[in-house]
This record gives sequence, structure tokens and C-alpha cells, in this order.
Amino acid sequence: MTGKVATANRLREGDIVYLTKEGEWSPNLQDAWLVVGDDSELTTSASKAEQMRDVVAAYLIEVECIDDKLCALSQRERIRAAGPTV
Amino acid sequence: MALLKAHELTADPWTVIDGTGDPSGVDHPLITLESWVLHSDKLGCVNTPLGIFLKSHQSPVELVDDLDRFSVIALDFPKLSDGRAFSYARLLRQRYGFQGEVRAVGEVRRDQYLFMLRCGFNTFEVGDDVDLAGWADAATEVSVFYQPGSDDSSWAFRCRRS
Amino acid sequence: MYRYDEFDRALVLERVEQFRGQVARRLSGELEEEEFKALRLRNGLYLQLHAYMLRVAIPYGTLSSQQMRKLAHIARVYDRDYGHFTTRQNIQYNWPKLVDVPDILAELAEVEMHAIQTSGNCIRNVTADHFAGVAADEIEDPRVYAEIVRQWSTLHPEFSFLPRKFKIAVNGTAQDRAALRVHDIGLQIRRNSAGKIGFEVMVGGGQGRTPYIAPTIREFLPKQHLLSYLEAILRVYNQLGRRDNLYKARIKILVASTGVENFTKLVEEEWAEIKGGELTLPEDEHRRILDYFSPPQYQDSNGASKTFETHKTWNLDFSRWCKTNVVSHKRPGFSIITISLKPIGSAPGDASADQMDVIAGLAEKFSHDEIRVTHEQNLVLAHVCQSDIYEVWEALENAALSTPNIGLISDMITCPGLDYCNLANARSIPVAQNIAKKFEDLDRQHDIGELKIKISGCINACGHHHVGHIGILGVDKRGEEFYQITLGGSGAEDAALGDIVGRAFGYDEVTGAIETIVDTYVTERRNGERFLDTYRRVGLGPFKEALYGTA
Ligand code: HEM
Ligand code: SF4
Repeated sequence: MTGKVATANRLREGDIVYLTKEGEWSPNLQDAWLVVGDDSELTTSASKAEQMRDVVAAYLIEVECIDDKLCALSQRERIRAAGPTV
Repeated sequence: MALLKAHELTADPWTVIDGTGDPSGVDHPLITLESWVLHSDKLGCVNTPLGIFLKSHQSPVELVDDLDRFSVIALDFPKLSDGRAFSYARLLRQRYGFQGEVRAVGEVRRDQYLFMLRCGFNTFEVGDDVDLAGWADAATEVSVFYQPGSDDSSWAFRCRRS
Repeated sequence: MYRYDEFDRALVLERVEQFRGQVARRLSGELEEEEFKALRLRNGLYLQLHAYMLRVAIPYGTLSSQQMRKLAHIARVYDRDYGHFTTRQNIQYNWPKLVDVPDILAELAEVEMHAIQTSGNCIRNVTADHFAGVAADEIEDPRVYAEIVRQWSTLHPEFSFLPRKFKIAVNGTAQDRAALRVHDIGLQIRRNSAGKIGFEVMVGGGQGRTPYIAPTIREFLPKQHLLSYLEAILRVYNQLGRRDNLYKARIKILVASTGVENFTKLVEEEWAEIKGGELTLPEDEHRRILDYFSPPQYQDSNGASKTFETHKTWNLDFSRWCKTNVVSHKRPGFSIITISLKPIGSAPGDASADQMDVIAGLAEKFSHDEIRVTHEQNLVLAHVCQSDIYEVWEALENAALSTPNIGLISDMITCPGLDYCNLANARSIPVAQNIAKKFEDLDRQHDIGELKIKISGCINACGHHHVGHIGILGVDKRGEEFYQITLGGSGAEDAALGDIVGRAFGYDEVTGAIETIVDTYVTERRNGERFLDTYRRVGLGPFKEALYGTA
């Protein structure tokens, strides 16, 4: 199954974070709120968090759910989630 | 819109006349270059105050022969990243000896204020909610200059020698 | 080296506080990200793939031991224990927190360093030959002029919102170690027939999407006119450079579209108006700065070269390292040591905080307190007495800094690529690591000889791939990493852009392709030719054939 999650960086620190169902931001992709289909609610929550200055540079990414594990589809987002490969 | 001069708000007597409409009869009209081209015969020989607004691709060099006719030259910053007017202001002040008002309009931000002052701008069109104290700070945040500007502030070569 | 006076010190401190205020305004909501971005960028602060990234200027690549220790300290306290030295003689920290950056800048200011204009559409850190002041055939030390340009360009009121970034480099020897012809302005110091010092001025070089080798627009500019001439070039560019298209905004596009002759005419006309004015370099100011760069008091080096020769006979590893990493100094009995930041399997250009401290200590003890950063992402100890070289090498060996590969195939320039960079198409660092491992055998590297591989993770060309003897460019093909190879480029005095060899290779194929190219060269070369010479003689043909077959 593929869907979308919202990601951003924390404004003050810069750390990569993912939006959870509870509206919090977690450093762990596995905590992310996976939305299949209409993603307008994700976009709204993410831009609200930007306005509140919790996070910066928020956007949606495509992820795949395999055996209950979320995995980003693009190489870029996989590296972002796991850290540099070197 | 509010107008800033010497870090204070000041009244703005000028009325912007967009396009090429005839500005005669308007008190303190600020006209476009296109309008000047069209009406210069008529406007050139009367003595009422006249100002001109130049877009960022319109160099004041095009006006060198007529500079005397203008009390205000407004230079546009259509976006934060378009810095052409910095050069125009310096040319007006230094090369062509323009003594009138050089006004910054468009994306005029506090963090560019000192640069604009140093290039020879002396009035600034700003938002109504302008934080005057912040702008005054911005004008003094940096007190050392490494290059001559078009204002009268001293700079390193000269300071070091005196 | 240059030391700040009261003016320099005041400016940098004021700039720190100004930035502190800008960060506070961002955090309080007074500044939106879009506006803040333009401000943070002109102070070297990016938001990168993983985190913020801070780029700190090392003007013309010269550092004191104290400054290097500060860089180590910052890596330790505010970052993840390492820094990345770049081709533009900067250092980048990959993990600073926004809220810490004002404090980092304040710490840098304590040692006369800053991040001013290390990014943004303004005049960037001015770079220079990393052997400045110690190369035998140097006309004058380019750092003197780089410092003069640094000051003039800092917070320049007219040129802080240019169409695009602007990079200036200065070189003072016949050999070009500053890659002048791929800069927006390259300044080659020349002596004219009357014995006067001046510059050959090259304008409009660059890499990126449309690479250009800079043409010369003036054969000789007397040195006292340097700043007025630069002001004339920048003024023409600021008014006429394109602002409608990011990819056409560099001065190289203006020079190419206007034509070199017309462009030169515009500059000369502007210059005629301001020549001889306020910007004329006063003799006393020139002297003042020159004095900072006068050679250090070298100690007595009697017998040093004999000791050095003896050390080389003792230890094969040492003598091998000397062969690549030690070159002659203009003063007999002294040498220039290049410390490789390219150990096999590491990220090219990275140094740990501990390594920085070791190097700072060595510079203090053995090299007149001075370290250089090269545009090839290595470090240099420029004044080592030959009797001390063995001791320096031992200390480097203990800090994993004694890789003997300068100028060899494993001494690659590599951009951060997809592992760190927001704009990347493909990874660069692991490609470099795989190639380095493939050619790990030092005898083989020596047999191959001088070969410069340069790798960029996208067309922006931060890794200089266009001017690599072998250039590798990361491209994206339907979400997969691919690599396009170019051959025959050079960033030196014989500057040239590489030729594309053919279709791109996948991540797993690229190391093999490089090996095929190298093997082809070894087969084709004649008596001691470098790779570049062979390529220039035989052209693409044999390489194409070896890579793709004759079909
Ligand atoms: C990781 C953050 C970086 C970003 C976002 C970045 C961005 C860019 C961009 C957009 C360009 C193309 C400019 C143009 O063509 O107008 C460029 C060029 C360049 N960058 Fe970077 N860069 C980064 C890191 C580096 C590093 C680490 C180095 C040194 C190793 C470097 C050195 C250069 C050089 C030498 C060029 C090409 C010369 C030129 O045409 O300006 N950059 N960079
Ligand atoms: S070449 Fe591309 S991938 Fe590499 S650092 Fe520059 S912008 Fe990033």
C-alpha cells in the first residue's frame, strides 16, 4: 500500500520530523500518519505547524507500507529518513 | 503605504499617475517613464513640481538630459532579489549629481535599509505598520564601511589614514 | 597572515549581532521564512537535506592554528565532531541548530572568522592559490589582493543583491592552482615589460549547467586600479545581468550573450568614469596589508635537507608519502606538505575535530602557525623545515592523516551529493569511496600517475566535474542514480571542459567504467604521458570503444 506522510524540519533545531496522527512531530518515520487518498488534511496540518513556527519547509512525501513498516519511495527520502549512507 | 525620511514618518505630497494619462492639473504628480516620453514637450517647460517612477529595467541614464526637471526619482525594487536600483541610485548621485529626492519603492525591507541609505536613497516607501525603532536600529547596526558609498559616511581606507 | 584591526573587528562583531537579531525576529514570527531565507543565506546558513548547514569562510584558504582549533571546537560543541572542507576554501558544518548559530558566529568572531557572504547572490569568499607566498616562481602573494577584495566586497551596499552569486579567485604563479578560468572573475598577477605589477583579468567563466572557460577582457590592469575595475565590472553586471531566469543569471551568460568585445567595451566605458577616483589603492594601505603577508622568520635550516634524505632511506612509507605530498619551497631546506583529506574509504574533504586539533598543533610547532585549505579539499603546512618532516609525518600517521595520494587517482574532489544535499540527483561520496577502494593499491596509483577525478551529484557542478581529467556527474533517470562521464577537462592553466563519453552508467557500474577508462589509458599512453596528455592525443575514440564496444 502506498500513501503520503508529511515531513518538515524543526524550525529551531533543523531536525527532520514527520507528522503523527496526534498532530505531533516525530523524528521517526515509523510514527508518521499515513494517509491514503485525499491528503488535504495532511497539507492543512503541516502548513498550520509552519505558521505556528514549530517546523519549516513542510511537504508531503510518498511512502510505501510493507509489513507494517513505512518506507519512503524516493532514494532522497530514504536517505533523509535514515541519515547519510556514508 | 507610509513614507520614511531620516528614520521618521513624513507626509507624502506626491500622487502616482499610472500609465500614460495626462498629469497636468494634478498637484505633485509622480509619473511613469512612458508618460514622460509622451508628455515631455508639455511638462518640460512648465515649473510645477514633477516626479518620475522608474521600473527596475528602466535606467535613469535614459533621463540624464532631463534630470533637472524632476524633484523626485522613485526607483522600484519589484522583488527582494532585484538589486538594479542600488546601482541606479549611485549613478544618479555620483555620476549625474542628482540633488533631489531618490525614493525606494516596492520590496523595501528593513534589512536592506542601510544599503539603500549608502547608495543615496533618502526616502523609503514602507508598510503602514512600520517598526520605526527597528528601522532606526537597522541604520546603525553596522558602523564600519569597507567601501565608499554615495552618502557622506567615511570608509576604511580613509579612516585608517586619519 | 592578515590580522584584524579595530575596523575589521567592529564590523564582524556588528554583523554577528545583526544576525542574532534576524534569528530572533524569525523565531518571534516577525520574519517569514521566505524573507529570513534571503537573510540567512547571505550569512552562510542553508537548510539542507537533513538539517541546517553552516558554511564558514576561510578567506583565501589561510588559517592560523588558533583558528583551526576554534573550528574543531565548533565541530565538537555545536556539531557532530567533524567538518567538511570545500573546493571554495570554506568549511561546512552539516548539523548546527538554528538557535546556536549566533553563538557559533560569536565564537568565530573571537578568532577573526565569519560566515559573511558565504552564500547568497553576492560576492563570495575570495579564493587564492594555496601555495601563495611559498611557490618559487610567484610574482606576488595573491592573498594580499584577495584580502583587499575581501574587504571591498564585504557588505558592499551596491552589490549585495546581484542577479546571482559571484566568485572571484586570484593566482600569482604561472601554474594556476586557483582554477581562475572557471570563476566569474579570475585575476592572474602579471609583471609587464616595464616591470610593473598588475593583473590579467578574466571574466565570465563558470561551471554548472552551462560551463564556460573565462575569456580575458584585459591583459594588464595596473594593481592600484584593481578595485575600480572590479567595481566597473560589477556595476555593468548588476544592471544588465539577467534576473528572469536563475539558470541564465550568472555573469558568464551576460558575457557570452553580449559578446566578449561588447562586454569589454561596456566595462571599459564604466571604468573610464571612475578610474583614478576614491577606489584607487593608496600605497600605504597596500603596504599595510602586504606587511601582514611578509614571509615568516625562517629558522636556520643548515643540514636539514641531508637529514630529510636520510629519513627517506629509513622508511619506505615515509619516502612514498614524500613523493606525492611534499613539494619544494622557495627557500632551500624547507618544504610544503599537503595533508590528504582523502584516506581510502573516507568522505573526501572531511576532517574530525581531533584531526583538526592535531593539524593545529603541528602547524604551531612546525609551520609558523599557519594552515592552508586547498580547492582540492586538502590541507597544507606551508613552511616545514626539512629536518622536521619525518616527525610531522609520524604525527600525521597517528591521526590517520598520512594518506600518500596527492595528485593521484584517489585524491578526488567530491561534492556532498545526495547524502547531504537538497539539490542532488545522486550520491557522490560513496562513488568516490568505491573508486578509491578499487584503486587502493598504491603501486597501481603511482603507475597511473597524475589523474584528477572530480564528482558532482548534480549539474550545479560543485564537485568541478566539467574540469576533471575524468568528470563524473550524477543524474536522475526515473528515480535511479546514474552517472555521466566526461573526459579531458582541466581547471588549471590549460583549462578545458571535458567531453561527454557516452550514455550514463548506473551506480553499480560506474566504478567498473572508471577502471576501463584507466586501463585504456595505460594501454594507450606513450613514454610517461599523463592521462590528460594521452586523452588529448588520442581523443574519445579508444575510450568509447573500450566502454561501449564498436557497435
Ligand atoms: C550542500 C550545499 C550546497 C548547495 C545547496 C550548493 C549549491 C550550488 C548551486 C546551486 C550551484 C550552481 C550555481 C550556478 O550555476 O549558478 C553551485 C555551484 C558550485 N558550488 Fe555549490 N552547493 C553546495 C555545496 C558546495 C560544496 C560542498 C562545494 C565545494 C566542495 C561547492 C562549491 C561549488 C562550486 C565550485 C560551484 C561551481 C562553480 C560555479 O559555477 O559557481 N558547493 N552550488
Ligand atoms: S553539485 Fe549538486 S549535489 Fe553536489 S553539492 Fe552541488 S548542488 Fe549539491
